[in-house]
Amino acid sequence: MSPENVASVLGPEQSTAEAEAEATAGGVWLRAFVRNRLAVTGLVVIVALLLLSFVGPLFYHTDQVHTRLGMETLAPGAGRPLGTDDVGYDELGRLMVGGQTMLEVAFGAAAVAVVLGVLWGATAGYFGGLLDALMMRIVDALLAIPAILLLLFLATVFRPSVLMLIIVVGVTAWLVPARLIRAEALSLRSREYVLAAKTMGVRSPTIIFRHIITNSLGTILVNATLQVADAILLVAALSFLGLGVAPPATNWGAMLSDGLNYTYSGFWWLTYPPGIAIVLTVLAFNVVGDGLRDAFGLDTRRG
Amino acid sequence: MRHSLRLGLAAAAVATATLVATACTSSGGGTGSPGSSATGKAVSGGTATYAEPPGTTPNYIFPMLTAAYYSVANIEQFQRLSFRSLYWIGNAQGQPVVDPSMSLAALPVYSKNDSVVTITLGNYKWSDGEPVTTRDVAFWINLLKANKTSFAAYIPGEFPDNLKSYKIVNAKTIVLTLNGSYNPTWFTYDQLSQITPLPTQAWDKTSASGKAGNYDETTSGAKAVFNFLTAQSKDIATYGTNPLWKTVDGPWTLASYQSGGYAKFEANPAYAGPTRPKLKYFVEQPFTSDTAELNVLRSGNSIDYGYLPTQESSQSGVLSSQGYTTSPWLGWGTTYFLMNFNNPQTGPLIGQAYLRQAMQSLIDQNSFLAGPLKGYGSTNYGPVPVKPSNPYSDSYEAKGPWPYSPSTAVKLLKSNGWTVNPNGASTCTSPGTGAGQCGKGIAAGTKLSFTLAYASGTEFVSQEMQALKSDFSQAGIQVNLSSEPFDSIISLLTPCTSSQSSCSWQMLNYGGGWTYGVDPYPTGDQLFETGSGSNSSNYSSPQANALIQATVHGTVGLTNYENYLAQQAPVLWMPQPDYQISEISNKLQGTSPQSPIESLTPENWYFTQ
Amino acid sequence: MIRFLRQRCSQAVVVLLLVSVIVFGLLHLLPGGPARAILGTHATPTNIAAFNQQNGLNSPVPVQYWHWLTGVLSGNLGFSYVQNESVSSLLAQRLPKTALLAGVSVLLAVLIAVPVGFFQAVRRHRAGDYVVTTVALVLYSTPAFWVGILLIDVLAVRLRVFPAEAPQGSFSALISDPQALVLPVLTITLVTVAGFSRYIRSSVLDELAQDYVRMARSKGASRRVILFGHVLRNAAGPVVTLLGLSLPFIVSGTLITEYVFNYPGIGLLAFDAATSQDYPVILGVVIVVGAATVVGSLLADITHAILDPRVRASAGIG
Repeated sequence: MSPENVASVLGPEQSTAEAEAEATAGGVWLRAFVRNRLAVTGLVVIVALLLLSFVGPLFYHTDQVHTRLGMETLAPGAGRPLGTDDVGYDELGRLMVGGQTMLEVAFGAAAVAVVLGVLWGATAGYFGGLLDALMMRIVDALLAIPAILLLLFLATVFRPSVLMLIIVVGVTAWLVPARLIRAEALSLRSREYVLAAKTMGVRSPTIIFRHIITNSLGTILVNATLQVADAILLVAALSFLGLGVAPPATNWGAMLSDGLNYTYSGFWWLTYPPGIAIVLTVLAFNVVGDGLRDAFGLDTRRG
Repeated sequence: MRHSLRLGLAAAAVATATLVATACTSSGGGTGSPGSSATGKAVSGGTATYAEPPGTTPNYIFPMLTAAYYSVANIEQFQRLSFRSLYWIGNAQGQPVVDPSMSLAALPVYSKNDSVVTITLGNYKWSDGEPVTTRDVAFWINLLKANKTSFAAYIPGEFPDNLKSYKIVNAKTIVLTLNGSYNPTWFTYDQLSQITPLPTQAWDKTSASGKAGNYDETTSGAKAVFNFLTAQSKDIATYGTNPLWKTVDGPWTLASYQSGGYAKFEANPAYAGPTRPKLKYFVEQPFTSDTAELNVLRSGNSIDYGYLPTQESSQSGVLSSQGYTTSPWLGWGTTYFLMNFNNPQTGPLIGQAYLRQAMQSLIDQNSFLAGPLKGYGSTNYGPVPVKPSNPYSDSYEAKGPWPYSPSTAVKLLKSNGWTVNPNGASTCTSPGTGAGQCGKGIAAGTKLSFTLAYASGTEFVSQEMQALKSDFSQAGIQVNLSSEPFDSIISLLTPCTSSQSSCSWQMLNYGGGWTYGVDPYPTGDQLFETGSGSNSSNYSSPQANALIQATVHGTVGLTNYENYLAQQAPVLWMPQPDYQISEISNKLQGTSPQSPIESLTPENWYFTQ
Repeated sequence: MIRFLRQRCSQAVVVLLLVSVIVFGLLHLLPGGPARAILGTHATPTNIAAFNQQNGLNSPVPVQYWHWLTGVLSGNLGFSYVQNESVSSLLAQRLPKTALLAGVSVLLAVLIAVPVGFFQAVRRHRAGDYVVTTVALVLYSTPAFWVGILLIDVLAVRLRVFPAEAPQGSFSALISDPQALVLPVLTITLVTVAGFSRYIRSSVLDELAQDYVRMARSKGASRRVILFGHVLRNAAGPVVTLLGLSLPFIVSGTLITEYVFNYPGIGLLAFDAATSQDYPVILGVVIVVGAATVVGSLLADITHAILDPRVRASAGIG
């Protein structure tokens, strides 16, 4: 969770929902997005990394399950474009496997965060009053707890697996979308079509989904992409602190921090490939997020 | 503010002194092992800086402490520098045997069928001039009797429960009457060595301003004194200034201490032991991670006695050119991983010795030593370590009755009613309790498949387990690995019965074994006797019990016990990693041998020009 | 204003209570318990029983919470399971050190980010903006620990310009060795300046698009007056907000840096406590950081309200 992500929920409670609703309808945002070259480049990078991680192993076969002690930390050479790591796994193959885990956790956590946050925020904002106050105090409380501290503690008790990482990262990340969508819901609930729906007797959940959430799609999308970026950095930090998935599974963060153990031995192929992969992915999601934000015409300090 | 400023200045002064002392050096060129004939002239004075192992720091100074503080960092590398134990383990050859010259007393004399012990103290003095007398020994015993559940090393039934009475004959002689016959070696090493005489004249009080008296002679008084001393020990801000902690009989007095584990000792001129310190100061520096320590090692010469993280062991050449010598430090302990005898499903399988022996035969210790441990370790096939050299290790156990031999494993399984399916799961095709049959409680068609949970976070453990899984599959033994956090693994170490949910684990590897610190004479009564507190595998063997009892109460040595356990493999023996790879500055001599129980004796160290 | 303050303060108390309940519950309701983790592999059942007894771990969880809460309200934050010090003593020693590290880093980051963000906004879509934005984005996307270790490798080990770790002593030892602060501060600054400057850039861009700017220009005010007189002042509000809300991230951000540089601050304390199941210290850190967050965001809101009249108008919602 980046400071600006959270800070974006503060500030004047003015909503640009109208502009957003306009942009959403008719796919205007898509056309605006495509015109943004930087954002499109970011999208291309993301697709490339997805292909590398998930499709790559179909073409480039390496054994990522059995260690080969005796072939460890070999420099890049014939048959091993990125060398081998400290238990003999092929580094390029490792990069693909690591990418799968990394992207699965990042997308999964972002999905959990967005779904949970949107539902929570929309409900709180739509109903308002005491329910809103209670729900948002809980969000404030959870925001005040340093996520990494909780994650560290949980990881000493529970086995870190991909599912556990998704849940744990997602559960700490849903707070920002909750606040954002609540703000949207607060302003949208007094719109004419919402009031009309209420008088006609449309049930609340339907209103929430049909009007509130669909009209906040822009905010949600932007936040989702930024969540993915943050999740990747968080998983990398956790892996560095010693908590990540267990071998033979791996992720780029674990590869980077393992590689950093050998800083003095000069095994550059253990650190730069996963490190650059992380930077590229986070960068890409950030520019895509920025591009979406511009395309939806959202207040650049929010969403 | 002034206090901390003074500390800050002191720290800066130490740093400067160290810098100056190490600045005028002749460059590198490690000449063999440290402690060998000095390459330069010995100088007196100076400050030696020792890097504490990562994540462990000394934080408790009163020797009668609870289990939460019972650690090498607190005892062997902190308290014992100031407060000597009655008997000192670790001689000049680095063997885990009692060194009478470093002990406060001469070797104890056993009589009346080994049920009476006579201890005669030497001529040690407290730093306030008072001699160390038997009253000080009695002080410890009285405090212990009244507060035994608060002492980490207390085991119900053992000291002081096995002490019927004691009698002070004179200021130097005390006689202990025990509640039965005990093996003198066991009693001296595992019971008497726990005794740390305390300065009655300074510590036998119930308040800071009160006078010292004989409060310890009543139970309520002993409790009050213990509470007072414990409360003082909980005030770590005063460790460097509290007069209590300045009354020492060891070669070092704590001069200053900072929360976080930084300790600076200065030489005690009144020390009456065999070697007086030549250094002026000895400093212990804490580090959160071994990488942080390595960074400091590589970026300067502020550490005199540091260590190399195993995964960066290739750096020893670089450090050598910086003026350090690599010196592996072997600790007195055994390494193994556990199989649960009480697991409802796999317990009956584990109960069969031939199966355990087959599994032991599939553990390739030499390849683990060469690969994951990078050569820094020793083979280990039984409860008594082979290294460091010691008088207890028997050649049968040392060689190992079950070295790596997949054909032996297959043969053992086949001749006991199993059909071996390499790379699959072997099945029991001849059930029953007769000869050549699988054994009691094993139904026909039972597959050899186990779950092995191992602690994540240590590189060599996960490498060993991956290799082991692949080795075991040669005999059709399926191992399903599961990496868990260390804390969650060790939460399962408490002995359990088959009906408890905590007994559902099948195999457990926390990446260690047992360090013989409290029990330097490794009789295994805590580990392998039926029902004992640290018998985590729930092993129960009448024959083993009898052999263990014979070592604790009889006069036999460890041979029969160790060979039986090596042969029976109640736990799967693994190679023993070195305690650490020390990197010692070439200007610091006198550091050899490194203590088998990880003590520090900087009174033997000196700088050379 | 008074009503606003009172409302926010009572909310803050509720939030803090919730924080303590959540974390306390989490720690105590998970399976196992800290005894074995604290006492280690050599602990006997006797040791474990004594530990649980001594630390009140055999009572029901709500009772334990009550004891803890009443303790906190009377100033006793408890005693560490592992470190032989009281929690308040540990916090009192470590907090100033992190405050120093975080304070200097954030100050430096703001000092750099404001002009840089300004520059990016004013030169939007020109070469200068692209270059600076790219550099900022790359820094923002790089894991902090990598930045730190690279700095150590190059500046401390190879070039020996700065020490490889922070001084271990008291606070005064820390400030008497400013060289050792350079690398940790640099690490945090590099990683946060990027985020800050992006935010300032957005904020300035928004201001530039506002009606009052167009009005001022149409009235003939010079560009400089507009920029520095109006835009900067209005863009300053969010910076304060940003700073206020950055507090919990300061702990997370400094945690990694403190770990890499062995810096004895509250982040490292939190790390050690969380990984060694030292419940009293974990709770202490959470309460302190929670309080700091709540106070920080409150102060940020107040300052923002003072600086920006539009906020005052819509303040009080939620």
